[in-house]
Amino acid sequence: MNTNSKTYFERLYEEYYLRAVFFAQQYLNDREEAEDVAQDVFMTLWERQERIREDGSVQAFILTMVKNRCLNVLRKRIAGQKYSDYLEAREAMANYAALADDGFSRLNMEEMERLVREGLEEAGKRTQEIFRMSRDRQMTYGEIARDMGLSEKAVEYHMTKALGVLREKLKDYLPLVLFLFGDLG
Amino acid sequence: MDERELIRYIAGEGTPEERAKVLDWVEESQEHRKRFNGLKNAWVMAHLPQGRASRRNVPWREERRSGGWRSMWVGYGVAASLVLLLAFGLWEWEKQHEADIAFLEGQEMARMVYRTDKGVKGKVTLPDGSTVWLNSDSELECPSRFSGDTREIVFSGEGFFDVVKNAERPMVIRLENGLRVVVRGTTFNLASYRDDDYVTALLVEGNITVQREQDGKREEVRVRPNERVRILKREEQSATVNVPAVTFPILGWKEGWLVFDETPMDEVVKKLERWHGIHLEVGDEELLKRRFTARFHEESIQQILEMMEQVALLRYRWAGDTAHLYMY
Repeated sequence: MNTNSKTYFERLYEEYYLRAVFFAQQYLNDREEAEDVAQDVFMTLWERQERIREDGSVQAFILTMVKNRCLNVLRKRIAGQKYSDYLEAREAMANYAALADDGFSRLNMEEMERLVREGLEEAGKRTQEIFRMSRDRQMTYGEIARDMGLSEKAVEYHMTKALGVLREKLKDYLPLVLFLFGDLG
Repeated sequence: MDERELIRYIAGEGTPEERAKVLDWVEESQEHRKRFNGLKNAWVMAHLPQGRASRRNVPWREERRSGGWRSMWVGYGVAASLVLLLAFGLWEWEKQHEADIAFLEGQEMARMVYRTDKGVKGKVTLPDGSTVWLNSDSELECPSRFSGDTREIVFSGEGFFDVVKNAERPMVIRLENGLRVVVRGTTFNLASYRDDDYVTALLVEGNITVQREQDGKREEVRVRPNERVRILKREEQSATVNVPAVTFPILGWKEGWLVFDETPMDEVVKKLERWHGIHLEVGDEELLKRRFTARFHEESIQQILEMMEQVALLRYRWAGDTAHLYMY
């Protein structure tokens, strides 16, 4: 297929589908259900032929749709009591509460997205590249080390640095993040 | 609680024990919960993969799985601990009566409130693993975790309880008017609707004690298996105990049976309203003196009213979503 003739929808799907699945999976703990949710979102976008306003964040727009569907799934799951054990029930409720938190609105998502992008830029080209290999291509530290001609320890250093920068950028979303490795209880 | 432990949990790692420990911490206070939420959400946003999908390597799926809702009861299975006089079957009428239990999370110590509206039934698992089947128009409130010497919950409506055995930590079910049911490990049916003036409990297995504590005075009734106790809410010393010959009229609701057994019409009306979520108006007071016997399983309210008219019990007329009932 000629790249130029790709439809708007196809470009959206390519760009955001995996993010939608990842997001849903973090809260539903079920790959199949996460894919169901993501498919449902893109189905809706396709049916409604929605032109997403490019002024706001497209990612935040789509993830908000994913978020709302996840809330519905979790609500039904909790009400239906379909668990194999009580730990699963508690995990579902914890995920529900995190999703429903009023600090996780579309605007919050937009802002977090921007802060993550800025943070990675500030961390430097090499750190950014290594973090992206781990996050976007799911490469292990060993694989990254071989690919970049570095030691695993060096990769670990860059990852720690990246997470540190991100944590600092996102500090408004992380109450009392000062107590990093001490007792938070 | 160390942030590293929280991150491990969020990243999906850790043994069940480690994960339970994190959840204990999260559920402890609203402040902990907020911290967890912030950390989890920020972690997810920071880890969104920015790789590209293409329709070739992530195919668009044509047939989608139907919602997990319909397989709700099948997934749960038959709990071995249940010892019932009736066989435990699947809830076939779920298709008609979609259980839509409202789940509300309290502010403080995460109190859970489960409510079924009229026309709806459901099933709840308590923090200790006990199970409660809720009939229509019922409400149950409990903490997200039991602590202290008793497992305390607040209840109104009708429910079938299967309580996990724990003699050291009895379950205390608070009703109204100072009435309480103390339970150690037991299956029983409890009916305590707000608009009824009595409370009834039928014990299947185990032991329960119904207590009333008001103005410093306490009265107590111990109930033995197969016994049914009935207490008037507003009258002291009003407990009556009997052994019903058949328990199907009392327990049938769990299997989706609406059962009337020489039931006086005022109770029939209340039960129909609760079961079907409609409003009934009795036009002729005389009608309330009559009694009715029948069993319904998946009939609609329309079919039930028609049947009642056919047996010359009453006449009915719909006005909006209210059915008006008159002497035949």
